[in-house]
Amino acid sequence: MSRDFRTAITDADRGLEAQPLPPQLKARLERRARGTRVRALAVAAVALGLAVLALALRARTPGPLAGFNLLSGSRDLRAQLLAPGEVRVEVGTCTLADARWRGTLELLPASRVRREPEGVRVLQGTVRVAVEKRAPGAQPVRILVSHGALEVMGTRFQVSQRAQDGEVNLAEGALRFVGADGQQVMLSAGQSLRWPLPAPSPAPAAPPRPAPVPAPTPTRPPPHPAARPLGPPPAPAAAAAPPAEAPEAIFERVAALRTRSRFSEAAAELERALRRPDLAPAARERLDFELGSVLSDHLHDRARACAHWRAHRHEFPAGRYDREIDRVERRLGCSNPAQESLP
Amino acid sequence: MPSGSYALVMAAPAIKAPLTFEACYAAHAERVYHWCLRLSGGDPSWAQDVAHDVFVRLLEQLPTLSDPDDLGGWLYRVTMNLGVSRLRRDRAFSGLLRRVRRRERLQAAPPPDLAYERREAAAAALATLRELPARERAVACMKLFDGKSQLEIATVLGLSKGYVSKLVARAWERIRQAGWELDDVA
Repeated sequence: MSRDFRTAITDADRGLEAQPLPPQLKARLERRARGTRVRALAVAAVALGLAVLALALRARTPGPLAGFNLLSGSRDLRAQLLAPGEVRVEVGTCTLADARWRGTLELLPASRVRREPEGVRVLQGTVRVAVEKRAPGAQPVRILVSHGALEVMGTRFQVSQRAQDGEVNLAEGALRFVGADGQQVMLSAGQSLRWPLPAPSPAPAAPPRPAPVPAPTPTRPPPHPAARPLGPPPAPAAAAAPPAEAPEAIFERVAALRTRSRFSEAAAELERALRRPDLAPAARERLDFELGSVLSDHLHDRARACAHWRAHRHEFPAGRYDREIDRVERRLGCSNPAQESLP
Repeated sequence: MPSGSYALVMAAPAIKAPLTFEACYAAHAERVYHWCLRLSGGDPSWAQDVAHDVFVRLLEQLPTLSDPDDLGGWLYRVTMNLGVSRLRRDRAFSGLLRRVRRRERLQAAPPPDLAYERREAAAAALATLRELPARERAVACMKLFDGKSQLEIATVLGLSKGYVSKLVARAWERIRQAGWELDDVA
């Protein structure tokens, strides 16, 4: 027998060549191709189902905050959800964000807000609003109040809504108040406005014409009669400070001074209030925090601010503003006490 | 039927657009199956499995084939590489049983028109081929059946030329140890 491998394997290959292509191969491939199509259809169907489910979950009844996100709250916060998107703060403060725009709403005690399709309505109390600057052409953020709406493109201000009237104090930027009757008033930093606006004076001309409505002005307009220009704070608030004044009145007065950039006076007011022995611990902590903020952010007195924050931490260990204070201290570089004595 | 060499594959009539799977299958299925039979040492079941895998790969990649004109070359490369992978998997324990069963089925592979002695020798040669490790078997098939150079084999299998040279030497050594005469590697 020949033991030449090349010859033997060539003979074997002839035998292999003669073997026909099994018909099952084609059948298997066809099944596979069909299976691939069926799998692809199944995957598409599952994906479609998941998408429908996700849409259904999104479209279901909104949660209690209904578009508000709770960013932070004071330790003593007591708040109520009155309806979907309607929040009332009874005690303490909380900060909310509206999912529709970038910014925050800080609700002070006894305040109530409601999220509405056109904006956020301040129903009662004092709310500090900060809106990040919006892109040109974007719709302004609308804060609705009893007698109109505040339209802002990026600013910081404080809104106080009372039963019959209200007030806005603008800290930064500009905003437009659009009254329910169509009157518009532009406000710039430091100005404040009360509503309801006084009725426009009738035109002196003989032929009767509809009362003129001031058009919105792109640049700084002359102050509206209702807008208070920079100047001394409202006399009633400054003068009438009874000995047992409520902390909220102090906060309002300090806020008014801050919005007028009278920061030294705001700091002095806070220091005076902090000397009162009858202050509740929570109010004292908040006043002390406000004083630190004025020293850090407005007076830019780094040495005094760092010393203040250190004393604050000592007096209020594990206080409710610790996170904010951490941030401020980091920004000021307060970590090294030796540096604080430097100018 | 052509011998199935790589040169003949390259010379196969080009499939003109549109390049459908049906057309590819009709043009190349027999050749692919034959390559698989060689790699398996004459096992139709194994060859059918690997040929199936090759055409499934074609089904998946047909729309994105970079050079549809070289479909024959692409199929050859895929067949050899899938075949080697499959052979290596078969060396696992689960494959051992399959090999034992397969050996029992492989009696009728040699061509029936040969003299008895040559048929016996052909069957023994296939049995020797089946004993080679996966890569050595693929290299031996490409060298003995298709007359590939070591550089071509290295390109198809993605190996270095030096490693292919070593595989060829080892395969030849094993074949000779099985009692066969085999001329030196060209």
